[in-house]
Amino acid sequence: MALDPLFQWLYATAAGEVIRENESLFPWLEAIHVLAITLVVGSIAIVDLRLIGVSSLDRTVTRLTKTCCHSRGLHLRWPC
Amino acid sequence: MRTQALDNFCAWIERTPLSQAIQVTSWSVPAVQTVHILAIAAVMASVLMLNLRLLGVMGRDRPIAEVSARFRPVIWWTLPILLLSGAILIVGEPVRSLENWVFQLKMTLLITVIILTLAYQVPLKKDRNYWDTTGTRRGAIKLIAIVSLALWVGIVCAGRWIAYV
Repeated sequence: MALDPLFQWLYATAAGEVIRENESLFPWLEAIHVLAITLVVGSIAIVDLRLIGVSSLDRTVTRLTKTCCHSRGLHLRWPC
Repeated sequence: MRTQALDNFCAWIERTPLSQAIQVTSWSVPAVQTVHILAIAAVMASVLMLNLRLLGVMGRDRPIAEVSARFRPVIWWTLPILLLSGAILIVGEPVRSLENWVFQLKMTLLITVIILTLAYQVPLKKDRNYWDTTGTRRGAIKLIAIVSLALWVGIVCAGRWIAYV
């Protein structure tokens, strides 16, 4: 496959080797990955459901977007 | 924890027609896992929004009762989906989960966080200002929020770890 050299290079990198050799690094990375997915999918869902008109109708889109995206410096997802 | 009774129970599950069907249908586990993770996203986002409000970090322009009324239904309606999809994954491969100490830890954390959530939701339902009335309660609800968030993060991490121990 045309991308094989890239994969082989990735496999040989120091980072690749550390992740491969370490017993617990991979599951920890996976846990962080899933936690991050829940934040992105969840916060987008909250805003999108408001845009569709399903929920949070008592709040303006602007206000809700602010809460979900960049309230008090908490960047849950971006760009907003 | 691993007992003879648990071994027998797992062996019995494996022989049921449902378990057999899951074992021979290659797409069933990834499909159910996808539903499970989407449901986790719904619960985690709701839990985060609610707990950050309890902590006073986010959405302070709304009372706790209002934020709770918005996200509480998502948590309680999504939990059955998680339990059902999780149960299907267990039925497909009972030994992998039921006899796994990380899975047992995950269930312990889950039961703890459900009890903790009920513990602050019940008084809040009776009195919408309950957690704002005294300094002790304002402190207590912040502590509850931190513990609750830690438990949920622990549940997600444990879920990933089941496959690795």
